[in-house]
Amino acid sequence: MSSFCNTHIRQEERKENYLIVSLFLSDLSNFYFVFILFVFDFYSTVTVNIIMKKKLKVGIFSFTGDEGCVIYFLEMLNERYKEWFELIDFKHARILKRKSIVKDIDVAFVEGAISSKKEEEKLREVRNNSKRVVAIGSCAISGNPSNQRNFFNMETKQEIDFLLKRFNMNEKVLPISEFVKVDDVVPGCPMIEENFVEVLTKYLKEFNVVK
Amino acid sequence: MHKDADIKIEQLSKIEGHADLDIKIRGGEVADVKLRIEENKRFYTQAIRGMSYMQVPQLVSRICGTCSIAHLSCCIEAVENIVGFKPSEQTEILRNLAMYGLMIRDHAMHLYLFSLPDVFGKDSVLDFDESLHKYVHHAFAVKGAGNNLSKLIMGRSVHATLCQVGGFLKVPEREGIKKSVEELKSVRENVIELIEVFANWPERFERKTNFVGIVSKDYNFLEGRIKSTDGLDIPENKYWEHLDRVVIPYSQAEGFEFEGKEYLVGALARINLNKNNLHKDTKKDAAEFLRLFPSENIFHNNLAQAIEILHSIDRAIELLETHTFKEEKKPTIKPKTNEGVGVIEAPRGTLYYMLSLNADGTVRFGNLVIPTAQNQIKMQSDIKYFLPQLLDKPEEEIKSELEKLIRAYDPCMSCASHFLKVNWK
Repeated sequence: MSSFCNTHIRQEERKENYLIVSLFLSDLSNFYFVFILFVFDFYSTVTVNIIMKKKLKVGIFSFTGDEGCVIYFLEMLNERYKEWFELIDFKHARILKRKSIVKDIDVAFVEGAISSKKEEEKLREVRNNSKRVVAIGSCAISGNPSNQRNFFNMETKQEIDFLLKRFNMNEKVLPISEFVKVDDVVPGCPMIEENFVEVLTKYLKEFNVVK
Repeated sequence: MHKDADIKIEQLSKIEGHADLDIKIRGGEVADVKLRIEENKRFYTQAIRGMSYMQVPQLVSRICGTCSIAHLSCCIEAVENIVGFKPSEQTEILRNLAMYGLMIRDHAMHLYLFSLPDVFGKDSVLDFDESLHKYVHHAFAVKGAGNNLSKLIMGRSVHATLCQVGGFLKVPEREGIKKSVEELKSVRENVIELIEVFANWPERFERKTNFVGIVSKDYNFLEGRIKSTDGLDIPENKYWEHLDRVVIPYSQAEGFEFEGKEYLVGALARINLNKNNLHKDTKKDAAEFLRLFPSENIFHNNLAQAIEILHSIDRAIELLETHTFKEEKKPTIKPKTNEGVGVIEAPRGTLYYMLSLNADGTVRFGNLVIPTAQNQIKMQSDIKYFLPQLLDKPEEEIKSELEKLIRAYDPCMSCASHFLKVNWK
C-alpha cells in the first residue's frame, strides 16, 4: 500500500475518485481497502488528508493592470513557500508555468480590471470553471487605477480614441464584479498581505485542505 | 520540415505581462514575425496631466508591479531636476540602496522563477524534484533579501511609500540595517552558484548589436553618462535626441530606434559597457565569468543579471555598513514652470522620463521611454533570425525554444504598453 501511495497518490495530478484509482491496482485486497476508505471519507476528511494530501486547486489570473498583486504574491512566497507549496496545486499560473489550464479550479484569484470583450470572455471562462472567484487588488475591485481613462476630459478621450478602436477596447474599464459573481475581495494597491492570507486560509478550510 | 505553417504562441508564460507571438512560415522560410504586446494600455502619460508633482511619483509607480521602484525613482529625478532641487547625500545613498534592492529582487524573480526552469528542462520551479530543490530555497532566499532591503529603505517593494520628491519620510533603523546586511551576506553564495549555472548553460544566439546604457564609475543605476558600444558618449538629458519612435500597429507598445537602428538596453548592455566598474568583490568572485564579456549572445543577458545581483549585494552591504542614517528636515520645494528629464537604469534597461510642469506644480505633459519598448524591434528581428535553425523541429519544440529566447530579454509588458505621445500645447 505504501509504495502505491508514493507513486500514485503523491503525483501532482492524482485522481480524486478512489474507485478509479483502485482500478489501477492489480491486487484485489488493495481495491477493497481503498473502497472502504472511500466510504470512510464521507465521515472523516482527516484520513483523506493524511493519505491523499489534498491541495487547494488555485488559478491566478491577470487582466488590465500592472501585475503588482501577482508579483506581491510571489514576494509573499519568500517566507511562506514551504507551507503553501504543500497546500496549493497551481492549476493556472502563467507567471510560474506554461502548462496552465482553466478547468476544475477551486479558487481563482483575479487581478486587474476589464478593458475589452476578449478579457470579458476570458473572465467568464474563469468564473465558469472555478468554484470561487476572489478579486485581488484595487483594479479588480473598483477598476482604479487602471480605469483612469474613464475620467479623462472630452479632449483627452478624443486623443486616445483611435487606439481604443485599434485594439478593440471597451468604452469603459470596469471592475470584474460588473461581469461575474465575486465571492471575496482582497483590497489594497497592491493587495494587503494580511487580508490575502485571511482569505486563503478561509478557503483552505472550506475545501478541507486544512482543519 | 515545415513548408507552410502559421505558428502562434498565445500568452507567453513566465514573463511579466501579456504578449503573443505570430509566425508565418512560407516555402520553408520565415515570412513574418509579429511580437504582439497584448497588455491593454492604461494611458498613464495622459493620466498624469494635471496631477501635483508631489503625487505623480506614487501614481507612475503603478505602471509596473515589479519595477515600480524604478518608475518612482526616475519620476522623482525628473521632478527634482525641474524644480532645481538637489537631494542630500544621505537621500542619494538611500535611493541607491533602493535600486540595489530592486535589482536583487527583480533579477532574482526573473532568473530563478522564469529562466531557471528552462535551464533544467522543466516547466516550472514547482516541478523541481529532489535534485533541484536547493534552487527553490535559493530563489526565495535571494528574492527575500532583495525584497526586505526594498522594504527597509522604501517601506514596500511594490508601490513603495517612503520615497518622495525631496527625500524620505523615514530613515532605516539600526536593527533593520543589521538584519538586512546579515541576510544579504547569507545569500551571496547562492548567487555565485546561480552565476555558474547560467555561465555553463550552452544556449547561444548572437547577432551584431548596438548596446546602450548608463555608465558610471561605481556602476550605480541612477546617474552617469549614456554610452553605446557603437561609440556614443552623451549626457543623460540628451538621450531623447538620439531616439526615434516607431509605431508598431499590432502591438500595444511602441518601438524605438537609437541613431536610426535597432538596439538593446538591459543588463547585458550594462555589463558589456561597464564591467570594469563592478564592485571589487564581485569582480573577484565572478572573474572567470566576466571574461565572457563583451558578449553578443542574448542568453548572456541572464548571466549579466546574475552578476548584477552579486554587485548589488556587495554595494548594498558596503553602503549599509559604512553609513548611519539620521532623520533629515523636510526640504522646502517650490514648483516651477519648466521641463526636466530623469534617466536611470531600471532592471531591464534605460528608463527615461521627461516632464513639463505648470506654474502651480501640476503636470502639463509627460513623455516616457520604457526599456522593453526600446528592445521591442530588436527582439522581433532576433526572433526572425533565430527561427530558421528551429524549423526542422516539431511545433511544440519551436514554441518552447522561442519562449526561451524571449525570456532571455526579460521583457516587461506592463511597462512597455505605455503610450508615449508628446502633447505640445
